[in-house]
Amino acid sequence: MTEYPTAFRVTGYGSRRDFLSRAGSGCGTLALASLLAERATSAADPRAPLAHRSAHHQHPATSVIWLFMHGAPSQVDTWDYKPELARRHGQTVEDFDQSTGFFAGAGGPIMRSPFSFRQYGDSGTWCSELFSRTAAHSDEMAFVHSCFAHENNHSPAQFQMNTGMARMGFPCVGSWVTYGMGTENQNLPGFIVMYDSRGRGTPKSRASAWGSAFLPGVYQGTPVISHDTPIDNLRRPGLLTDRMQRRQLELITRLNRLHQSRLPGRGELEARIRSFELAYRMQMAAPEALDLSQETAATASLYGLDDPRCDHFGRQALMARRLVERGVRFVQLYSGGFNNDDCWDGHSNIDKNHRQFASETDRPIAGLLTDLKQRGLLGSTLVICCGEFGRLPLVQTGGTGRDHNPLAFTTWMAGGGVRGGTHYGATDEIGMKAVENRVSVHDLHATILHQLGLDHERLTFRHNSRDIRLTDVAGRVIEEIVG
Amino acid sequence: MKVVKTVCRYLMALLLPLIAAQSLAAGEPVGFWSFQPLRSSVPSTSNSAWPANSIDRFILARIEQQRLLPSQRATREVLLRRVCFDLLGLPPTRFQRTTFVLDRRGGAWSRLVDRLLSDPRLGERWGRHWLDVVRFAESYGFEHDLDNPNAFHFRDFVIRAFNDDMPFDQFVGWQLAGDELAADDPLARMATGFLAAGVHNADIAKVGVEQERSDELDDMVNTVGTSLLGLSIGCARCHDHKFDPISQEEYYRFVAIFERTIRGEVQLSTSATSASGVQPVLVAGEGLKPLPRLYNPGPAFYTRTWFLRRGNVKLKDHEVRPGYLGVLLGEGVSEREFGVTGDRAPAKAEGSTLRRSGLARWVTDTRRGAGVLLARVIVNRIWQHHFGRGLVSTPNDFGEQGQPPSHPGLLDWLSSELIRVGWRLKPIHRMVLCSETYRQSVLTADRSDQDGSLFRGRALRRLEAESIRDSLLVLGDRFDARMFGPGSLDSSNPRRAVYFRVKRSQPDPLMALFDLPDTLQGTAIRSTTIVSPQALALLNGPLVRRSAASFARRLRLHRPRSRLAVLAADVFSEALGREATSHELTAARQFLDQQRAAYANLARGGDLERESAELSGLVLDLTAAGLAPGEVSRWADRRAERTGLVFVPRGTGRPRLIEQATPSGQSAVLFGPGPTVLQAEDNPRVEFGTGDFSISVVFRLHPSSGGGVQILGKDSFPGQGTSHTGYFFHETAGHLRFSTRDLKSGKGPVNYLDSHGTIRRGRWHRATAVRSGRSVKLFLDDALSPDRMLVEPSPTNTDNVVPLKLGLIDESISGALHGELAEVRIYRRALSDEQVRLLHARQGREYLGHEPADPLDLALTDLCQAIFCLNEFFYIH
Repeated sequence: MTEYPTAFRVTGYGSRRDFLSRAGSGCGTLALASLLAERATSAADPRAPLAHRSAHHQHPATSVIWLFMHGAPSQVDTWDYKPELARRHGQTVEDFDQSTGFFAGAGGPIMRSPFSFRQYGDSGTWCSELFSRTAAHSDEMAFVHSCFAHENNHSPAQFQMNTGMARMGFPCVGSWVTYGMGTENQNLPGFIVMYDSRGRGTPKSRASAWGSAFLPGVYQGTPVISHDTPIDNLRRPGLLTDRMQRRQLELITRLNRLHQSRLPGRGELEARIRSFELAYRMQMAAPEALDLSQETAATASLYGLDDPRCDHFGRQALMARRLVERGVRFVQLYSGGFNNDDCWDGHSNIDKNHRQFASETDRPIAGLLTDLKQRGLLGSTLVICCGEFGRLPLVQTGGTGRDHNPLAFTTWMAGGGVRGGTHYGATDEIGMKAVENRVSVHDLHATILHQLGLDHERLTFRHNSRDIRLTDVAGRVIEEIVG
Repeated sequence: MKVVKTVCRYLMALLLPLIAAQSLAAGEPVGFWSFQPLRSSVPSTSNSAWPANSIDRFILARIEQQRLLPSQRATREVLLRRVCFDLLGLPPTRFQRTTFVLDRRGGAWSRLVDRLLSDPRLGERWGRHWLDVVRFAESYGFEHDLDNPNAFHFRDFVIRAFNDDMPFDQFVGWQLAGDELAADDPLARMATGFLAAGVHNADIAKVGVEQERSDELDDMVNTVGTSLLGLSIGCARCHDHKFDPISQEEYYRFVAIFERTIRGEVQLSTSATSASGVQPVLVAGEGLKPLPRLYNPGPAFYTRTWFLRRGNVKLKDHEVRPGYLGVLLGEGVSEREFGVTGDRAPAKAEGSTLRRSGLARWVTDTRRGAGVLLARVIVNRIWQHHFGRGLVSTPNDFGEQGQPPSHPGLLDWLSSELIRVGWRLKPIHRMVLCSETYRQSVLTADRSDQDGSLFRGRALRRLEAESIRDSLLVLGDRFDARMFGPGSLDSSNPRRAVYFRVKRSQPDPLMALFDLPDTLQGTAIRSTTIVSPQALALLNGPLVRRSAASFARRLRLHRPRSRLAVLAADVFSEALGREATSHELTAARQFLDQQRAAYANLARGGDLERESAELSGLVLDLTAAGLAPGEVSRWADRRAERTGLVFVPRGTGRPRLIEQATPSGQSAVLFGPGPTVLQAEDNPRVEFGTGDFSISVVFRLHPSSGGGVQILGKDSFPGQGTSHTGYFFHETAGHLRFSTRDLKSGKGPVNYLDSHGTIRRGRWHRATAVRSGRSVKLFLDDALSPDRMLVEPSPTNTDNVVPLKLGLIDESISGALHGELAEVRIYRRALSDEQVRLLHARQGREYLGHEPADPLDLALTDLCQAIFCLNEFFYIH
């Protein structure tokens, strides 16, 4: 093991410091053997960095599908119904801090929502017409209305939503989760990201949105675009037939074994031999996992594949289900592309912008929830939906849109052990600012990890002398929406 | 037993601090080891024959304490490969092998080491280690990740400095304050790229300006701390350092050193590195014009530095003045001794406060400042890269949270030597390389010490990403050795990997797979993961395959008429630097034999198969052969009498037959320059129903053709019935696009696939689209596996009464073909990947004059590629 930095240890699992602190509080009753065994099974081994690892505690969720509404949807036009807006339409907010939004000084008077609202489900969840199909599942969904961000521009806020930090250089949630848990299906990547397949570009935070930063590269997200090949280098080169490549692989293994016999006991040599076998299997597994032609027409229709407005996102949502079904740990989907008009960033016309992007996503999301439920996957799959921040309840001067608002936004989760039909936290009466039971991004992250059986205070990685956490030095599990 | 051992280790961990505390009480110097003066005396060992120099005595003493013996010396082949990769990052050349292995005089090793130490490849290899540590990159990072096109000069400076053996104190001083210390030397100013290499947010709101500046300063302070001193100074940004003696106050005093330092570009002479002449260079300094942002929301720096409570820019506590770390200040030494530090006086030299030159003096001063720690940190890095593990196994952390040195005396001895030889690194390399410690052979795992800290026997080390790629290029004879200058993002570029342009959002995929370091913070130790995508890249990736093919070609050119066994032996000796064993030779020869036979069979079988397979299900077979010269007023299917398919012109444009149009001298039908359309006569349908089909075309766009031209297709049909889906081949933005389109509802979805490969005007191409079930694949030219694949939402009905057209499909839009068609085929079935390969191979021979590939070349390519995949190729003994 000489070659490996200590960096690979998932500290917190009986690390030295942990041991000392426990030992310090009376070590007479310590079950040493089990403690050490736990440590042995839980260290991330660079020779098999994606092997499944045991969790910190019992957990309902084993996988995540994260629907990232890129560009930031407006909470007051979707899930945070504020009738007060219609009453106070056109009034100015006296104490409004004009540096809240991105365009300083462009915060106009209050603007009513152009969308109609009604209640759904036994929970009586209010939702606008934009997500009427998804809202039909509201009794399965838990809403956090009091989220806030620290940044008022997209890329830092996306860094924060994905990594906990508003700067570049930190691993995103999917990387932390695969680092902490490994993955179930070794023939597929553990963390897969799909961004816009209509050629509208990547998220604004680009590849950092799925980067592993200082965690080993193996925990980085694999980006897949729906019509693209799923993973690099899956196709055989040249004229090689399957049989001929198989023979080549046999030669490699044979020569590797001869080499290994001269250096017995070197685990990395064995691991590398096995990685070739796995690679060979991945060539078959990955295209199969993304092959939607195996789905029935009814399923395709459920996701809106027959509707040109949403077929692109529908395909990705359906692929997400297929991937989760096959043991992929973490799938993240982005709605919308890079530029303002190509995503939920409705600065100039909230009506037009949000109608378009809701029509791209409502049916696929509703279809995904229905499908997960009917296949019995909803219990073990945590579905998360959010933007990077919210939008102001005011009009942005010069148009009919809304500017960024880091002070309030709504995040919902479904499945994966969350308590359906719950609403947690609240904004003020115009939906401008989270005021009751405020929830930080760290709290969201702590909750996500908790549902996956990971303790956000114990999931750490030693980097440049610090045991770094996804939740930095903060984070609280939102107990009120889980269990 | 293992459990007991681990328990013991835990108990030791518990007790050690107590023991340490005790020895302190006994009057030892107070303080942490890394802040102590250098102390070392070379130990004596019972075996006096083995040690070649003092290094060996330090190492042997500990091995003997464990009642063990050092490992025996490795063979010359192993040593040569080891030292070449270690110093140059490249495999030994044939010349190096013969010179060294045959040099039987005494001192051969030392002569080899000297030769390698003066090789300019050294800077490219060791410079890269430094670039890891200083988070070097050439783009801003963040949302837009704008390029810093002139940032590469810093990389060139580093390479140059390592090659010239620039004294390390000067190397460090210039990076911190080259503009102040040697303003007239362009290299010194390039060196400040060290401070300028961090991320830079180009798109910030007005409210974010101060925070952004605070982050930028933190990046500088943090990088200085970890790279030069092995200290996590950045940990004191929000509170006093939890483990090391660095207060939050000191953090902000350190920040104040860089208060006015920003990045910008200056015009410098770059004759020391790349082209002579004056070029813009990214530097750091004071009084510079700041680098542009997307728009300008606020100042690039502030002229006062505040102590920020909890690191929050809104919680300013009190103003601070520049200063250094107290723990690294000699006793009774005043900060003022290092020059101007606290002065708020206006600019002295070129508008600079000279704070950084003070810092440079403090960092390198071994008596009064941090010089001793600086020396310890760099000799440890040198050791780390020679052995795969530092004497301190946490090279970026010499603090409380790091590991103590395994051989404190050796670390101090090497540090004193470094200072004694005037901070030159090459003499230190030389000492290390000429030790017996370095020349030991690899021990099997069960015989080696568990964590390698005894340096008994050699660690097995995987090649870094750069060496993997560079080796493939060198062996494949596709290596471009030019040094310096702007880098490239092109994965296929043949220069050394250190000359990749480091764009933060776009690391080279192959390099990233093999654990390229993150560029946001400095990296001391790269991880070495083992994952299947690496194996996929080696088995199927284009770079590996191309290198294998050119390696095979080189070997055959070298020995034109060799037997298989000789060729196989050459592969081993060239790629692995040793002779193959008889076992290996047998396996390789057998493999060559079998693959050669399989390729030959494929070609033969291909011919036979073609006869039957190519014709079955064929519903359209157009070829220009047999048409009369001149205007084409009728282009009939080869079997028109049976299929009845005849194409006639529509509109006024007339296609013309061009003889000798293709490289092999075949005819082709020229469309354009004006709109020219051929349409299936009498509206006969090429019907597929909802079934599978394949369409193949051999075509060329005219050199002066416009963009976005249509090649052939069938328009969709918005009319009655269920027959409505159309399909197109057209060119778009240099790629071939195949689309299916359903206009039933007036604006049905368009599904399309764009080829990975590009279409070049004036060049012949072969393209085939295959629909099988709901998946559609596109093949272009020799991309002998599907180029792209798409899944259609619902079964497409292509039973469509609209006639098939060549040249222009949708006459309502512009984009008529200006180019030639030589062959068009449509099958009412899905060709297999294999069949498409054969079809393209036949078209290549028939129209493009491709020579059939030699089965032995192909087999040898497979063997070379297999060798590139071996553990022995990846792990250096």
